Amino acid sequence: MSELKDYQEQKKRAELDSKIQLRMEMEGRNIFQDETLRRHRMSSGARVIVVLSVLLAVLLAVSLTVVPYGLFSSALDSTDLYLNYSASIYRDVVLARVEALLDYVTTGGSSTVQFVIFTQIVVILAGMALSASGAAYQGVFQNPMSSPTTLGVQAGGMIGGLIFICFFADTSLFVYNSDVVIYADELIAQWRSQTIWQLCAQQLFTLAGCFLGVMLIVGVAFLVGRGKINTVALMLCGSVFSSAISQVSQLVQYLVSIGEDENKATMVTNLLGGRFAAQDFAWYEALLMGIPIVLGLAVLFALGKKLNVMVFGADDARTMGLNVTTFRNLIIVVCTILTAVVMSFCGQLTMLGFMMPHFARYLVGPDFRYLVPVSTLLGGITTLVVYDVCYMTGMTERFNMYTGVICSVMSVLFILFYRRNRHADWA
Amino acid sequence: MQTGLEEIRALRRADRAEHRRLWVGIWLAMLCAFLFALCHRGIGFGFITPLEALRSVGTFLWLKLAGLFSRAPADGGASLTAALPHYAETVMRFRSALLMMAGGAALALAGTVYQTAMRNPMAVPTMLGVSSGVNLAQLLLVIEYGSAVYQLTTTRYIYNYGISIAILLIVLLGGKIAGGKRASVADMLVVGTVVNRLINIVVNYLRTELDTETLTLLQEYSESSYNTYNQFYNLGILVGVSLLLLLPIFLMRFSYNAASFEDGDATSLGVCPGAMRVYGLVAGALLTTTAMLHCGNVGVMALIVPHLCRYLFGADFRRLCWGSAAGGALLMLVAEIISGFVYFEDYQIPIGNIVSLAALPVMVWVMLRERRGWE
Repeated sequence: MSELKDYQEQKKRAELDSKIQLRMEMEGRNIFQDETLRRHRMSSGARVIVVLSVLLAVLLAVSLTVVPYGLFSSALDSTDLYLNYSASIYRDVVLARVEALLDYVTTGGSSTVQFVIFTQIVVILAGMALSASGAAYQGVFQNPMSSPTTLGVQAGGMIGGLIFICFFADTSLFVYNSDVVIYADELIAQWRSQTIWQLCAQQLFTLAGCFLGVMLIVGVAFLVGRGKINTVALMLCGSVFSSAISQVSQLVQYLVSIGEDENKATMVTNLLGGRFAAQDFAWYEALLMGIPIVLGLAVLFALGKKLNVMVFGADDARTMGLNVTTFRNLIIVVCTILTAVVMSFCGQLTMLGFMMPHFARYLVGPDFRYLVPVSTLLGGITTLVVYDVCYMTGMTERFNMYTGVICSVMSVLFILFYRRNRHADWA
Repeated sequence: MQTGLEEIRALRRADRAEHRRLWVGIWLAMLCAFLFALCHRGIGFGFITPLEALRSVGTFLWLKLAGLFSRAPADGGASLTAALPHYAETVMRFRSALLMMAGGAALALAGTVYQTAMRNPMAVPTMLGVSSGVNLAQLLLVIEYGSAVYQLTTTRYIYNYGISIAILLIVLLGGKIAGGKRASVADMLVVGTVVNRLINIVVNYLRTELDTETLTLLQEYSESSYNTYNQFYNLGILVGVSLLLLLPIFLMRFSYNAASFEDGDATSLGVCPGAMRVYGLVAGALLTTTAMLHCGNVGVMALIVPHLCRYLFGADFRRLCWGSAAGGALLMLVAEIISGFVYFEDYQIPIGNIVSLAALPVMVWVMLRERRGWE
């Protein structure tokens, strides 16, 4: 019996030894392999960024070429824009669009296809700017409910635009009525006779209003915090200011609409509802929007590492060597520039800057080095897709509303079904 | 330890002694404001004498009382009111002043309950979307009924309360789904905030889609919907619903102090903070709907009056509930008087705009004066 036991024990030990041997060999081999793999492989966040960039480029190409205006529209007027989209006509339209695009890119003519290009670029820029600043605000204020509109940017911009329309606008020159065919020759001539400053006067007023609104709110928070910016005061005053301004804007809309000037009433309606109803965007607007937005996005991407430190709270960040006050002020300035530019050129796009950072956090986690770029790309993709849907159904004037509604419905669903499985708080 | 009746009486005596001068001031200010509201004719700087105003109100009350006991005069009081040239408009102003005071008290109490129960200085009933729900109801009513909207009575209540209750159900269910086993009021507030933004977007953009006539009608209706004094039961509904909703809060006024601690501490003091918060949430939302239905778009009162009253009376809820009711009534009355003087090219600026424009400076002043009151 004892021999048998010994034999069994020996066998067991041999098996164990061989297993351990095998394990050690595999581990020895794997350590080397893992290291090389790790060095040559991208992190998951970077992979998501690459995938989203490619997706955005593909979507832009698709929406520039194969998405004609009013493809699924039933409400188009039969007089000017009606197209019976059978397969052959669709193919002709797409081919003509591609030809015009190539022509514009190579020779630079003045065909109407330029408005399509620049409008889509503007749409992408707007989504990117708002989503990036939303992510930065959520990091800086350590509050998952904050969004670019928290500091009263849009309310201030609204006031600026309303002041311009009520007191300075030359309504005889602006033809905002959507019944008018926009590309008529004399209208184009009229538009070209203006300088860029005349063309963008309303945008400049709105921009000034945005900055003044943020300065008011931040100044109040500075005053209340006795020299330091107080976050609760910032949020509280921002929400009170925004609600007051939204009521005042409704009053102004009423007062203008009972007045005689119909163009003025349409301008106010466009200001409150977003500018995509008014006209398409041209190169100078894309340029004026693009430069500050690209610069601001570059700053935000570079500051991602420091945002990671901010998440621990102001005191901990200070002990880790971050100059919290300067950093917070810098982020507020950059995000205000981004949001104000979007507000002045595109009107208000609510909820986008609230929703996209949460969605990005779902994709790549809370690391701000990847969170800010992913949120930016997601914002661009979302606005482009929504704009394409509006473009195909012939309702580009409702672009701002659709973006807001889609983002808020998405965030309700997201809160309901994603948050349940989490045990930590947001942000 | 249960608080006995004697102890409660002693506490109340101590409270009264502590803030006696403040209370005397508030009552005097309210009396003056009420008399001013009765005497001011609402058209520029026209006034009637206080004696005539009081006689008109007295006659009105006497006729109502006589009608109640079927002793009304045969001519319907025409002989009594003939001597009073401003009888009808004074009675209208009397009702509107009462309506404003009741609405202001309800709003202020709703805000106080929210801020105490949620332990959050920024919590307002309007956060949940009830105020934008009222706007949505007005928009839907105007779109559906056109200019016949002024004749509606019951339908208006059904729309407003229906939308409010629907929002509350979404918020409660959403908070439950989002929170899972650990459902908390914070989840519900998050859901409510998003629902509020959604309704705001829809209302704003539906407004821009309207044609000019409908828009004008909507604006006039939403600014004057609290002006329908002809139905006397407006005041009855406002006061009745408010009292019904406030009675449990009044009975639990000692427990709300305990609910303002941490959850564990509150539980060890013998109250259930979760249930009290959920009741506060529901009652505050319905109170705000009721007040905004009758007093116009003044939801921001629920944010500033509690801060103001906490600065005056301290954070103790059993004092604060009386104080904020009185303060809300007084401030709303003052806001209505001021809105009678503010004109823009013959158009009277509605009370909601004045209140919300005045809210920011008041808020800043409160925060500057007393830092601990709002933190």
